[in-house]
Amino acid sequence: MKNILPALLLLASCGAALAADPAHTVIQSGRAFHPAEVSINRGEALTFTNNDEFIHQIFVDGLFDSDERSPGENLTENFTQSGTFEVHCHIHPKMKLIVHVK
Amino acid sequence: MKPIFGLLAMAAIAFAMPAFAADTLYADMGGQAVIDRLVDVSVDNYLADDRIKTIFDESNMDRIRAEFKVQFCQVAGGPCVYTGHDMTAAHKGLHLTNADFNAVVEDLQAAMNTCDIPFRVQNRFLARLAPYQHQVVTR
Repeated sequence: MKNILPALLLLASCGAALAADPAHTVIQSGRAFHPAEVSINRGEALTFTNNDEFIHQIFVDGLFDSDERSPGENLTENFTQSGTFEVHCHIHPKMKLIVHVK
Repeated sequence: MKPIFGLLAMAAIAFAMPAFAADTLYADMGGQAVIDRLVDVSVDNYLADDRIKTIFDESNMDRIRAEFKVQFCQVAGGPCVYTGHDMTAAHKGLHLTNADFNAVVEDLQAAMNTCDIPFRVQNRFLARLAPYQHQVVTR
């Protein structure tokens, strides 16, 4: 029983992480990213949710350049390289998100 | 008799309006070279206008100039095809007023004067932009 309990706790914690996943969601609102800085592991994806009144898109120089998304829409980008990246929006150049990929 | 007169009047107006194939506004404005200059001058006017310049604070002005050049070309009947977002979606978050729209029109008229676009041609172009007022003004 003692061996089963840690395994169950581990499974429960993984399930909770997958369900909430706050570390992998970035909100676009007020022509800004929220949060403005995130850390993820290499190979993980970030989901961008446009909760703004404006159309947005995202790009990282030399890495990706997304389509535009209307309010209410999401988009997801995978980060397959380690490093620190600046995510911007072509439409609103002052928007900046720092992504640390471990 | 009145309904017939109304129909005849509408038909007369329809015939009086230039068909798309005979649309000369783009050429009358001076073609793309003048439209490109018109956009640059008018955007410069917007950015210098204390009434409306803050509207553009967060915007990529290079992108806006490029989109205006395509859109003005299309509105004038030129060969361009605007593929950007519709005006309602593009302006929704700005909460523009009629006063904002009127200031934009004034600055555009000043730019058309700077670009030596004849007054009657200016009016034809402004008439085509007028329907956008209902799409961009939201308060």
